[in-house]
This record gives sequence, C-alpha cells and structure tokens, in this order.
Amino acid sequence: MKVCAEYEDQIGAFTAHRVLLEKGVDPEDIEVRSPYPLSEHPIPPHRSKPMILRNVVRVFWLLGVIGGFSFLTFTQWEWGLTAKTGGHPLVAIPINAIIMYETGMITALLVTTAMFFIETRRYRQLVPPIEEDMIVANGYIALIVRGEFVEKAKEWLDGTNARQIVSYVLPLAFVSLFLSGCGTFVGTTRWDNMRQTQVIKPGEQPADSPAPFSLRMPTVAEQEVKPPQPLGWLYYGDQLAYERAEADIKRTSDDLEEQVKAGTIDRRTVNRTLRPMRDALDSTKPEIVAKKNFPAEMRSVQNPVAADEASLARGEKLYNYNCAQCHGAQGLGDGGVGQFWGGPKEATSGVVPKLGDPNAYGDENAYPDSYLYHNIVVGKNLMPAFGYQLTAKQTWDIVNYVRKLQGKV
Amino acid sequence: MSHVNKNFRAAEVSIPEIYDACFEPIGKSGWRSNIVILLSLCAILIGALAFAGQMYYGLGQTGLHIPVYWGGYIITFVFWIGVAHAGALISALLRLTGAEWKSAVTRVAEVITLFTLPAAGSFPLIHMGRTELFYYMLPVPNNRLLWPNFKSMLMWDVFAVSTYLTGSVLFLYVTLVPDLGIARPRMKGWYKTLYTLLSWGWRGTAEEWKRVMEAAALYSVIILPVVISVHTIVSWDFAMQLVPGWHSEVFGPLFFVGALYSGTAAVFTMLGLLLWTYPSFKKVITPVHYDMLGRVWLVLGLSWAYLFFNDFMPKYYAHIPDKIEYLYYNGFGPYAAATWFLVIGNFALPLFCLAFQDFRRSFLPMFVLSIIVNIAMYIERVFIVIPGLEVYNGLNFNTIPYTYSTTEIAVIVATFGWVIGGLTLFCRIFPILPYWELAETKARQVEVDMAGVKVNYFQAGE
Repeated sequence: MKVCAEYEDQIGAFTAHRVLLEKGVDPEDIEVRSPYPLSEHPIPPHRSKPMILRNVVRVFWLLGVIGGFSFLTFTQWEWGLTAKTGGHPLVAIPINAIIMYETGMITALLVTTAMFFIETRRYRQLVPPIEEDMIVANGYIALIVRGEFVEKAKEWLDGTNARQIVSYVLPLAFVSLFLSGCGTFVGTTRWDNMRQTQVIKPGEQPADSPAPFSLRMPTVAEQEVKPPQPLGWLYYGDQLAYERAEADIKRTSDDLEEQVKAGTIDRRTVNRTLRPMRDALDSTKPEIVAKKNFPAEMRSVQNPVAADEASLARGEKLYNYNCAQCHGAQGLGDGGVGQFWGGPKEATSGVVPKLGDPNAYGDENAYPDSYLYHNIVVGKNLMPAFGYQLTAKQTWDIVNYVRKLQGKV
Repeated sequence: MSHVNKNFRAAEVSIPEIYDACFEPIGKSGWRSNIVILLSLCAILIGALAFAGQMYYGLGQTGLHIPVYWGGYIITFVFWIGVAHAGALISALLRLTGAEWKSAVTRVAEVITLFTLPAAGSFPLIHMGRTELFYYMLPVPNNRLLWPNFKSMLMWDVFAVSTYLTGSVLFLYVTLVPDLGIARPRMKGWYKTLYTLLSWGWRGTAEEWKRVMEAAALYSVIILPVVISVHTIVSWDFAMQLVPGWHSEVFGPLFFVGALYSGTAAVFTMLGLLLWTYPSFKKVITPVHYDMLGRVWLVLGLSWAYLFFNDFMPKYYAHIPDKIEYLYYNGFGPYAAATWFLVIGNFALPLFCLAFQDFRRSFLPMFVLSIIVNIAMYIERVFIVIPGLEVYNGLNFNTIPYTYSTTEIAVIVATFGWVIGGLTLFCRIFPILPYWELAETKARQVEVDMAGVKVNYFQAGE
C-alpha cells in the first residue's frame, strides 16, 4: 500500500516532506516526483551519494586524448607525417593538438550520455509507478509514501496544502521486459582481405619526376619541346593533315558568315558547302591505339640507358614506388597487393611474375630488355599500363634495376 | 510616471497552460505546415535529381571552373555551419550563465542545429565530385594503403564537424528525455509508443532531475569549446591559403562571431515561423523573450562589425597591391551591389533598428530583419569565397566570372527544403518548446512587493 499526495507548487511539497521527516518517517520511504527540477532536492541520504558523472567524464576525456595521441603516433610511425612537413617538424604539433582535442571531446560527449542513462537508472525500482504518471503529466508534484507509516502519513498529509490524497494498493511486481532485453551481437568478422606484409612505403617522390599538376603556363622553351612518343605505341592517321583540314574549314566558315551578313548568300548555302568538308574531316581523324602484344620490331630495340650507379639508384626508387606493391621489394612476387591478387606465380598457382628470379625472365633471348619495357608501358594481364605516368628514361631505369635484382648487372 | 520593470518576467500562464501550449501541435496537421512540408519535399526531390545528374555527368554541371574552384557549395556549407552555431550559443552559453529567459528558445536553437549541420556536412561531400568515395576520409585500413592526410584542414573539418554533430544530437536528446517522459501518459497511439521508448523510463524523481541538470551543464561546457573549434577550423580552410581575400589572421574570430550572429538571426526567423504556424505559442513566447534575445543579437552584430572592419581596414591602409586590387574588385567591381547590400543589411540597418526596445519587442519587424540579416550573411560568405579567387588569377587569359549553375541552385535549395521541412515535421512529432524548462522558470519566479514596487526574482536552482 502507498499514499500519493498531489501539490500545485514546490513550497507545498517541501513543507509536506519536512513534516513527514519530523514525524520520523524513513526518508527511504518518501519519493517526490515533479514535472520540472525543484529548487531543492529532497533526496534521501542513502541515495545522495556523490555523483560520479563528472569524474567519469574527466577520466574518459583524458582517455580520449590519449587515444587520439596514440592514433596519431601510429599514423606518424606508419605513414611519416612528422617526417614530411618540409623540414619543419613543429608543424605537426598543432595538427596533433587539433585531432587529440576533438577525439577527447567526442569521447567526453559520448560518455556523458552513457553515464546519464546509467546513473538515472541506478536507483530505479522494478515496479513502474503507473498511478503517479498522470499527476506529473498534468503539471503537479507527486509525493509518495510507502512503508510502516502509510496509514498515519495520510493523516499527517491532510494538514498540508495538498490538492488531493489518494492511497493505492501496491500492484503485483512485474518486470518491464522490453527494457531488460539487451541484444547481444555474436558474430565473426573476416579480415582475410586486409593482409599487409612486407609493403614498401613510398620514401619520397623521385627527384626527376615532374610535378604532377601545375597551373603555370608552359614557358616558350617548354612549348617547343615535343612530348616524347613512347615506344610500343603506334599512331594511325596523319595529325598534321587533320589540323590543316580543320583550319581550312574554319577559314571557309568565316568567309561564308561574312557573306551571309552582307546578304549575298543564304544560310542554307553555307551548310551545304560546309557539311561535306566536315564529313571528310571526320573520316581522317587520327587515333592513338596501343598495340597490346609484343611487336616483332621491338625485339631489336636496344636499352639506351646505361646501367650505371645513377640509373640503378633512380630505378630502385621508381621500382619501390610503382612496382614493389605487387612484385615485392626483391622481385619475388610477394608484395602486399600482389598477395591479394593471388601471390607469386608458381608452376600451378599464383599470378604475380617473379621478376627477380633469374630463371623466370633472365633469358636475354626470350625476354630482352625491350620486352620488359614494352610490358611496363602497355601493361599485361592484371597489370595496368604505366606509359601514362613514366617517361621513357624512367622506364629504362626500372628495367635496369630489375636486371640488377636478377643478378645480371 | 510609473515604474517600468524592465527585468525578465515569465509569461502570465499557469504550468498546465504551458503544457497545453507546448504540446498543442503534436500529432496535428494544419494546412500551413502541410504546405511547407510539401514544398520542402518537392525541393528535396528536385535537388536529388540535380545531384544524380551531377554524379552522372560530373562536376562540369556546376559553374565551377579553374581558377574559381570553390563556389556555391562551399559558400552554402559555411552558411549552414554558421547557422548551426545558434544551438551552441543559446543552449550552452545561456544555460551556463543562468539566464532565465533562455527556456523559450533553447530547443528551437538546438533543433536548428540538428537539421542545419547535416545540411552543411553534405556540401563538402557533394563538392567532391566523386561522392561515392567519401569513405577515403575515414581511417579505415584498406588494400590500397590509403590513409587520411592529417595535414589538410579539410581533414580537421571532418573531425570537428562530426564531433559537433554528435554533441548537439546528444544534447538535444538528453534535454528532450524529461519532456517525453512527462508527456508519455497523455499521448495516444504510436506517439505513446515512441515517447515511451525514447524517454527510457523517465520518472521525474529528484535524483533524475539532478542528473539531467548535471548532464546539461557538462554538455554545455564541452560543446562551447567544440563549437569554437568548428568554425575556426572552417575559417582556416580559407585563412591558411595564399589567396589575398582569404589569407587573413582575423578570420577565426570573424567567422565565429559571424556564425553566432547569423545563427541568432535564424532563431528569430524560426521563432517567427513558429508563431505564425502555431498561434498558441504566443502564450509562452512573449515580447520580453524577443527583447532579451534581441539584446544579445545587438551585441553580436556590433562584435561582427568590429571584426569585419578590422579585417579590411589594415588591408586598405597597408595598400599591398594584390589586396587593394581585391578590395576594389569587391567594392566597385561586379559585386559592388552585393557588397553594399552586405554593409547596409548586416551592419547599418540591424544596429540602428535593434537599438530601440520597441523594435526588439515586435514580432513581425524582427522576423523581416532576421531574413535581411540571413541574406546579408549569405552574401558575406560569397564576398569571402569568390572575389579572392577571381582576382588572384594565375591564368591571366581566364577571366570568366563565376555564376551558379542550375544544378547548384537546385541542390542548395534542396538543403533549404530539408532544413525547413525537417523543422516543421519535428514540431509535429516532438515538443519544440521545452516544457520542463518553461515550467521551471515559472515555478522559480517569485514576486515581492518592495516599498510599493513589485520586483520579481528567481530562486536559485542547483
């Protein structure tokens, strides 16, 4: 059994609360429920333990900062953030500070929420007090008394300024099932495709490669240099003839437009004149086609770059930058990405050729330097074409380095 | 002459009447809000189509071209981030300083943050072009060994904005829990189920109230520095570049104060719309609330003006050629009209109007003024982003000015639809006015007769 008194303002509720305490009612048996926070907190002593909310948030904030620091240390260890600040290692400090700051804050926010729900549920009873809900919803303060003094409390509360006093028979305890069922997620995650072994990370951009993007106009000297034509690529059609024909059409079109303005001919005549010229132009449009298979004429091409110290150093850098991810640092076909595709090429398994194996590609007659060169430029099987990214000199440097891996230099 | 009490007073209504006013719109549909939601849905659909077109055909669908590589999307991103700062200012700052009049506007501000921040966050993703690869920004181990570049300001943006979004959502939710718990027994249908689930068994005992106040104070303390970091980092996106109009040391505070200024304007716009849509709110939102928030708005406007002039006066006085070219391009070039509208609409007009208490206390003029300030603050972001890029043009042959393309306009309008429609829908499902905070203010107000003068004060809380 319990008694529930209803008050309009907080002064009345506080007065009643004090009266009950003076009469010797156990503070544990009194509960005040309100639709807004009261200016005093009538909390019984055994429940008014110091709140751990703040201290837990402080600790977790610190853990968040430490977590952010560890994450950034990992990043710098693996990817070299501090090493790549252009000779100004102090630049890394504000970056670290910002990320640590944000990770600490987000941890504190999440922990505040979690602790709020944990702490508000700490003293909650299993019997939902359905009867008083409506009192609070209607905007009044409910004061509930249980225990041995229930009968007397009803008399004592009659003297206070209560709107109404109701006594209830305590309903049978029933547990709110829907709140207790926390789902447990049991499962396994496959990380098979995350294997990372022996991957050479880029040390730095090769010194002799051009800047990838630039808004600068080419200088006069640069404009005069023709772009290199990579071997292994063939042009079909006559580029110069195409440009001449294009200029002819432009000139004819301009002349006719002036005549149209002068009124000597009409628009239809212009179209009738220009259309056959344009059709003829389209049929002669040149195109660039990659010849995929190793062409016979390439077999006789000699390696123009001598395999000296400088070339091998350049080749090593470029090899580690472009090739080692699949072919492996020593050319054994065991790079990280290569293992993803299927691993080193053996008699019956694997797909990545073992470039460094002298038995595989070391035969000068079957696989000359130009064969390696051609495959780098146009690609082969799973390997993409590198002709777009590497100059001819760089490609020959890589070929030299591969020969060194095979022990041929 | 009678004494006029200029201090804040709560509205003259009882607590049950406050409940009726706060929960009046729940579960009801009116033609006004129906029209707003329908128009917003149309805008979102058109914007989605435009975005699909952009994904298919590429960023050429926008008006962006080298050298103007940041355009409408980034401008609107900065604008929405600015508006989103309203939540932090009004909820956190006023909560910490114990301003009793905050209670009418806290949740409006938080809900504005809830909807504007996702709108803002979507723009860098849309601007990327290949939006489907956005997860490259996350530090997820992958086969290609890609890792975020933490030297980039945009990476810091990702961290700051996601922290702020998490914080503001949780802040809104935890302060909403008591309202849902209180209203639960009076709700009907699926609203009752929703409120029961979301209120997490709220009972309203003293322990719970103590914890919710504690949590709100903690959120305020944590979110205030976060919000400063968010807009400062957004300003660093510009200030850490070498473009003349962008590279300014005062951008951090200028962006932050500008954000609070436009955020407060957005709160007034939202309040105006709410009072038009739900006239019963006039019982609890009084001219006194408008007056108090208007004073804060005035101070923010003055701070913004101070920092704004502090930004361009040194440039003008030092007369560095590229910067002076940029200033003349703004003031007397193709953007002259916009610039002078910015100066008048953002500085002269609001500061003149807000100086008068009668103006601050009237609903409609404040609504109109808030819209003017919002437009002017949008123009300020255009003023910051575009002219600098057009003037500082390494390609002397490329002088095509930037204009918004149809795709960009459609996508930007769609985010406006998302924000306005989302807010309207939120009002129908959850109480947009914080019932427990209004009731608390009302319950704590005590009126005392002191030598014939009636003085009201508020009992100190926890």
